[in-house]
Amino acid sequence: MNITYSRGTLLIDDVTGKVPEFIRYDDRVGAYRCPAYKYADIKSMYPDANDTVFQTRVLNLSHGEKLRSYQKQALDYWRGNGHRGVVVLPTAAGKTHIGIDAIATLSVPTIVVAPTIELIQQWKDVLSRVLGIEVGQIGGGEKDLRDVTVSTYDSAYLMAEDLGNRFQFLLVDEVHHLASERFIEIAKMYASPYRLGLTATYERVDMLHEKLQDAMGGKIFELGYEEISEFISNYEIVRIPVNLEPEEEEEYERNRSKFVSYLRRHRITMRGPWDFERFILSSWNPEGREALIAWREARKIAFNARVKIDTVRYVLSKHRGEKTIIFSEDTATAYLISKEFLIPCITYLTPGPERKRYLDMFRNGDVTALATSRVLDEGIDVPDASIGIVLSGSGSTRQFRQRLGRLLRPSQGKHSVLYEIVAKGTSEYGTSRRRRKGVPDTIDDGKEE
Amino acid sequence: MFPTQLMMVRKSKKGTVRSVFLTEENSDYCSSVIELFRSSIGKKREEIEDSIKTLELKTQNPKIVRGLALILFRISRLEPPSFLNPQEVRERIFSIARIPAVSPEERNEILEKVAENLNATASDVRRAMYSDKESEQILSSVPDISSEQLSKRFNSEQIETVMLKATSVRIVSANSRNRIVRIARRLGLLYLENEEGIEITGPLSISDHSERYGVNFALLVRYMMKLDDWKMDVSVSLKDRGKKAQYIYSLDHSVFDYLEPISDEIPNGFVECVNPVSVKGRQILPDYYSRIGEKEVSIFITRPRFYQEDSFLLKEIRGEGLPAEIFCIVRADEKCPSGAICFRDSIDWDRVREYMETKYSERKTVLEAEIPVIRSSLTPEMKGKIFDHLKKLYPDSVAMVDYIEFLGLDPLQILSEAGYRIKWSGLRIVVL
Repeated sequence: MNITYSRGTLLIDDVTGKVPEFIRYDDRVGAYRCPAYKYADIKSMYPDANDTVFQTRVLNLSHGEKLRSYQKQALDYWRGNGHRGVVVLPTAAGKTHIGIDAIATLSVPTIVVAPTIELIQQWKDVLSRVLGIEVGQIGGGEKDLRDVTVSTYDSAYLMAEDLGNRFQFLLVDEVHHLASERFIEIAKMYASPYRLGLTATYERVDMLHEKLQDAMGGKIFELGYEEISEFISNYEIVRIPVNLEPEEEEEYERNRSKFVSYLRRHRITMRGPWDFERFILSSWNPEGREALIAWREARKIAFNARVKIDTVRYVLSKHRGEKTIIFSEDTATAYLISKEFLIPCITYLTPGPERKRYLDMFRNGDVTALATSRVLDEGIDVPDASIGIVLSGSGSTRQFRQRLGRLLRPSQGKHSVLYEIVAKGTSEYGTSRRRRKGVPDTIDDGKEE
Repeated sequence: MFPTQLMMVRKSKKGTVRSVFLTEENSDYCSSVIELFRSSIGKKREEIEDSIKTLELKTQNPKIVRGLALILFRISRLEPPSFLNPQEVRERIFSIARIPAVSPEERNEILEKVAENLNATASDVRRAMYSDKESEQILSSVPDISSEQLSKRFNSEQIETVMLKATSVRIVSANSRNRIVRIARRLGLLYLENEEGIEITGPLSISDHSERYGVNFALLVRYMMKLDDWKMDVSVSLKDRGKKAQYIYSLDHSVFDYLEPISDEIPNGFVECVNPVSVKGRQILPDYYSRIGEKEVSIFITRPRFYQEDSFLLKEIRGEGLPAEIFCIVRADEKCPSGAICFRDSIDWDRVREYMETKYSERKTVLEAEIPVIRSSLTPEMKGKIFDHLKKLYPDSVAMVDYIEFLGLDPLQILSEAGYRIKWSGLRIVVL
């Protein structure tokens, strides 16, 4: 019997006896076939088969990092689960260190998949430094394959057919994204027998996280903020309500009522993202277009209220010289802030090398503030960033926790403040309330690392 | 291809969908959008987008306006609004502005400093800061396109947009079966022929309704636009009330007359396969055949990522005692699959001919020793030739490994047999 890899699947020929359901005879090529992620099962079922799926090599990797007790515990659970599973820890709890130790322990070709270019560059830097190796990169304009390679989700998806048998260890950061309809194919098309997922927010409102059970080994370890408070920075959340200017308020009301009356006429109730999708789908007619444009206008007014810019000015002056990240929901606001205060701006439109340069400048203290839309919500690690300004955002608790997480990396004497600037009398107030649900305003037990 | 949200289809209760096409009756859409673009020369893309939104409000079907505008944006010329290099401008600004410029005075001071270095004014610098953003680009010219041409292009893109959601395609064709199979194979799709026609799917389709082959299906349709006498039923996965459902989308050759026909040059001495080879009740269609003496040799042309699957087909044909060969085309950044006979970029048909004559002809010729590049099993003489060539390439590790892989051989084995020591650097082999 021969087991070979072919474009995200395994081909098995000369099969004798009964085969399990997930292996099917493929008339198109005259051999048995199954999705590549079943490789570990196939191996245990047919240990004597001629297996050419991977070129097995040992890398002898090691690191000198010291793990915290809960990080060691998470790794024990992972090993106990056959080197598969998802570790859920709050942002700033040191998930990367868990990943590094897992890579060194296995010492096999590894691909680290992360959602943004910033994150893969960050993984690349830390892996190169800690493991003392050259790390490859796929995505962000690079295609450099090495024993340990980092990749964006998009590139890992697009190149799954070719890369699925190159890496025995699949490490997925912010693994909740993997559960989406598109990205779950990464998990399915890679034959990697060893899998580790890392996230702060495992559960998804659409329940797609259930797919991670089969694809990654399911959730095996979880701790909350309260359980690791001694390891993260103290913080407080300050909400600054601002008044729209009279003409802005008038314009806001006009647009808002146009939108709301459309919803009423079409009996659409906004209870979640599905309802909004329903609204968008129903809006491809002149009346719907008008309502959609009105919604966008109202949102723009609430997000970009002139007084908000002045409030940012106030916060920046108050914390002059402290490392500050300004978050907005849309790219237009991020560019507006960048032009107004002459600070670098990172959005999905910013080219890879430029993004890296700005982040390096921010880390090194060559600039002390960054404007960004949603691309820096997740995983960016700048330990001494202590001030966050949420100028606009969605009602997602996950997004809010992630943004807060940017400020929680511990450093000497650090006290972080996350400012939320919210336009009074607009739907932003409700949005702000929704996203803060379940997020404690402070963690302050007097302990610092 | 349009973004999915611009797809215009009518769904029926029977589970079928059909595209909504533009016809002469609704040519007003095209003329209004063309007119809007022609009158917007000199305006920023952002401003034109706003005008499009206004136009959408005045029309019955805003998706049509949006789709037509998208085509016109693609084919029109847009230019940056500033003579300064925006990246350089940003770099200079941020290298000076370590602390955010919170007051207008600080801001002006920085902008003027940068302007002075660039021989420009502060206002030039401000305007140039993000002049590379798409929304800032200025429309400079619109191509001469008629309403009819634009509407045909729109319809064509609508079809491709539906195909992006395709999970499988069944095609019936009396005269073009082989060509369709060949196109599908080139696109990395798999096929199964039976009396009802050709069923085309992707590898993962064995277990999933994957949409990842949608682009390949869209390209398949594009290639087929000039073929005549075909009909296809496409399974498409579309959202219906928040959930995915499978629909049947039917097309036939009468829909298309938009694109150029594909050109398929067949080399001398090789014939496009018309009849499939019947193996254990299955119909397998090689790409070509060539007559060598009394023998008719089936030929498959493949790519590295499809090699494994095509090898199974080859094995089945050979299992019936029929001669068959497979050749693989590799691009610059691709490796030759182990055991394969590979050619860089395109098939060298003369070499293929030589190879087959050597292998299948009754009379053996000296050619056998002259064509090491396409042999996969090695005689001592061939090894000697390869080792000699490796000596010439040493110490260029990349060239040595490339050469061995080009021959379809295992670099580790050959380098070791040739007496070289190697080490791994990442996934690369370094010859010491």
